[in-house]
Parts: sequence; C-alpha cells; structure tokens
Amino acid sequence: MDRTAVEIALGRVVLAGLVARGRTRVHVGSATAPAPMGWNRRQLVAAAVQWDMRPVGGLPEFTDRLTAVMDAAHHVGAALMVFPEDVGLCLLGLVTRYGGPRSAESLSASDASRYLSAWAPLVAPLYEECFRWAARNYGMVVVAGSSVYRRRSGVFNQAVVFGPDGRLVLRQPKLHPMPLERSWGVRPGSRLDRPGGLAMPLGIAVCHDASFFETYRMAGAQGAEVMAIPSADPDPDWSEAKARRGAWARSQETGMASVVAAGTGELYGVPFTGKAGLYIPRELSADGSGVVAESREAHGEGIVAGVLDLETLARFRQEARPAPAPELLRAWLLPRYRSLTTLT
Amino acid sequence: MPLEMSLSVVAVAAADGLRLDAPPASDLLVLSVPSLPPLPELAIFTARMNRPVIVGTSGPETRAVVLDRWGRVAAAAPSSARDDRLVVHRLGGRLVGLMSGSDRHVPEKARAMALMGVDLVLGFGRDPKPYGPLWAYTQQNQFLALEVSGEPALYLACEMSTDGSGAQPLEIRGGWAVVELPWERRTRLLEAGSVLRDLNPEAYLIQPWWDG
Repeated sequence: MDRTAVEIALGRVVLAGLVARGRTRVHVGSATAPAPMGWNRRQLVAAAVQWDMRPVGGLPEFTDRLTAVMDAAHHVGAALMVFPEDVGLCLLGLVTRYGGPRSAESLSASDASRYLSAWAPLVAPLYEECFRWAARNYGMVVVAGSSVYRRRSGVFNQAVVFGPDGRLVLRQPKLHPMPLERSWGVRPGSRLDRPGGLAMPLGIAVCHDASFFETYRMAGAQGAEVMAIPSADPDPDWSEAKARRGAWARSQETGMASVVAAGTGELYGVPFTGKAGLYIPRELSADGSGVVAESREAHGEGIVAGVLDLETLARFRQEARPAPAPELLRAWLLPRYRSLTTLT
Repeated sequence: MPLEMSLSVVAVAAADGLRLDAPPASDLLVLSVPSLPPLPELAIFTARMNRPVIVGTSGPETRAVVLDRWGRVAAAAPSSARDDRLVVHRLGGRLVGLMSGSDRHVPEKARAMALMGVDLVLGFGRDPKPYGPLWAYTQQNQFLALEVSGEPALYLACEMSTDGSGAQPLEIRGGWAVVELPWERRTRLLEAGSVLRDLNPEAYLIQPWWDG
C-alpha cells in the first residue's frame, strides 16, 4: 500500500466521523424571519457571491461565512442566491488540516484524482446540509455552487440547487469540464436539466459550460430565462476580456440574464480569480455595458445583487434575438455534432 | 475554383476601396461597400490590383463576391433577408467564411463554420465595441476574424493577443489596413488545447434546442 492509499484510507475514517457528527450540528441563518421575496413573473431580485476559496479550518467557520453572505442577500430582498463552483471542496479542509496534500501541484494527476474521488464525495452530504439550511432558513432559491460527486458512471463536478423550502430540486453535472478537471478524472455530464418544481425560470451553467452557447440554448428551450453560473476560474490573471467571453457574451447572444458567482483565493495551490456579476443584453442597460451589477475587484469576498426585469427581457428576446429557423440549425449543426460523436 | 496563392497578408479597405490605389504587398484585398457594383467594374478593379478580391456589402443583408486575381468570379454569396447559407470559400489553403450583420447573435452559424474547419471569418456587419458578436464568436471558436466594415480590426483568441484583449485595431495607411494573419500563433494555441475539443455533442444531440 503506497503512502497516498494510506492517507486516503485514514482520511476516509476521519471524514466519516466528522461528517456524521457535523450534519447534526449544521445551522445556517440569523434569527431574522424570512422577508417577502423579490420575485414574481415580472422581476427577480438576484444575488451572487464572490467567495474566498480556502480549505475550512472547521465547520463553524464555514457556516458563519455562509450566514454572513446569506444575511447580506436577505437584506436586499434577494429571491435567488448563487454560490461559486467547487465551493463544496472547501470542506475538504476538515480532513486536510490533519494531514494529506497541501497543494494539487505537488501531486501527479492520477494521485490528485485519487484524493478527489475518495474524499470529495464524503463531504458532499455535509455540503448539501449546509446549503439546505441556508435555503430553508432564508426562503431563497439557492444555487449552492458545486462539489465533486461519485456516481456509478464516474466522478462529476456537480451543481446543486435548493428550493426556498430547502428541498433539493436539481443536481446538475458540469457538461464541459476543463482539461485540468478531465486530467483529474472528472467526466462530462450527459444532459442539462431544469430545477424540478421551481416556478422561477432558472437554468444552470457550471463555469466553463457558459463558454458554450449550446448550454444557454438547451436551457432556453426548457423555459429558462435566467442562468445561474457557479464559476471558479483557475487563472491567476483576471482580465475583463477573458471575463466577457463567458456568461456576459452568452447574455448578449441569447437575451437571457446571467447571474455569475465567482471563486477567488487559492484552494490547494490552485489560484482563482473572478468577479461576481449580473449581466443582461447591452441594449437593455442604461450605460450600454450589459452589466447590472459586478464586483469591483476580482479578489476577495462579498456579494452583488440587482433587479432583473424579466418582462423586458422576454420582449427583447422576441424582438431582437429571434432564433434561426429549425431546419437551418438542423442542416448546419446536426451533421457536424454527429461527426464529432463518431470521432470520439 | 481553388485560387493559387497563400493567405498570409490581407489588406482591408478602410474607405471606398474601389477608388483606392493598390495597397502594400498583400495576398488578398477585402472591401466593404454599401451596394455591390456591376461585375465588370469589379473585374476591372481586380485585374488592376492583380490579386484576389472579396467584396461584400455592409448592410444587414450579405452580398459578397470572391474574385480571383484575373477578375473572374470564384464564388458569390446570394442576398437574403436572413442568410441561410454557410458562405465558405477556400483561399490560399485556408477556409474563409463570410458573415453579415444579420449573423449577429446567431452563434450557431459561427459554430458550424468552425466545425467545418473555417480558419478566417470576414465580418461585414458593424459590430458594437468592445466585445461585439464577431469578437465573441472568435473567442468560442478560436478562428481568426477580420471586421471589415467600420473600423477594421483583427479578432483573435485572448491568449493570442499581446494585450490579452482578443482585439487588434488595424493601422490605416493610404486608405488600407494591412494585417499579417498570425497563423503560427493560432496553430500553437490549438495544439495547446482547442476549445472545440471541450464540446459535448452527445448532450446537444440528446437535447436538440432547435426542435423547441
């Protein structure tokens, strides 16, 4: 048995105990009663988190930070709160504070994959419990970012969505994992689903998924008007241009709104930069920027919030973003997607 | 009709190109005009320039003509209220796609061109700046793009541009903006990792949005 295997086995024992005990102790939320939520068929008050990604020193540290940002969203009347991608992996700090790798850089891709696939699924129940509490206690729809899960068909980077009653309404695997994730064994999801039983017209694109217009089109065909994007960009050098080629550009193309949460800081040697933001077509914003709200800095922690005018967005899509005729799309894309599937 | 040439340097007319003198050395001239002149006039102009010419209209409808260096029509894109053809032509060993103003916000067309192997897209619409549709298509498909109408610009993946913006305004001299296409940088980028490799066609085929 190599050292990695020993560490993984010990970590599993530690985590099993911590998670079982932790799940009974989770509490997220201040004493404030839920306020009337900012959401109806015409408008939605949405908030997104910029979260400093670091391994947690203990569960209370995590839930305290969660409470702080949920309080902030509650004060602005948000009905939707979006957290960043990989936020669940911060809970790996529960085991790595006792030992194990400090940096993914020091590991081979296969060892990183072993740690990730062994430990991350174990913290998933605790991660879900924290956000279930957050959704229920604040009466908000919470897109709880994502974490790594193991399923029968492999390991997935999966976003989780809770309804305002705390019910889990969607688990959405990332459809387009980054090459780094693929090297760690993360597989792409096979389909895009809508949160079940939610009246809110919400779709999910996990980080790199927003680099592909196809994700927005699939969600739009299912009735989504607002896309929640949990993101964590493993790039130490944020730039406006690189940021604008993702969710912002998809909002310009499709006329759908984007609510982007961003991971910042450093998690196991992987640096993250990014800004949380709310985006709409530039034609609908007073200054022509397409930005409703956006963090000032690509580092640090906080929330952004704004009002999305769903009625105006729907009218805009109808008038200014008509989709090409189905027969054209079938002719343009179908054979090319098919040829890709036969190649892979 | 394949044209015997390379496609390294392109000259874009910044004004009414039909009245301009020949630009510095270039493999292809690209002109944007309000409406297409008669073909004989184009043929005379092309023969005078002694190099291939692509002339397109800058309005919402595309009409474009590709002429070889002797002024013969090599390809023509028809006019239509909503372009329903992928206008792609091989020039100097590269696939060149043409896009009009009506192709804005139709990312499907840019994707189809990219998957056909298009290397360079010529945009005849006037895009908003910064980060217009042609720029965004370039980012998500990693081809090169030349905005021909308005202020000429070269669009390329952010990773390829020196300032990281993915846009390179072109210097205009004597009415022409001449640009050397950075094919080598693009090859290196694609070797390091093409974003098209991250596509998930299986998911798209399971949930085809085009069927509503």
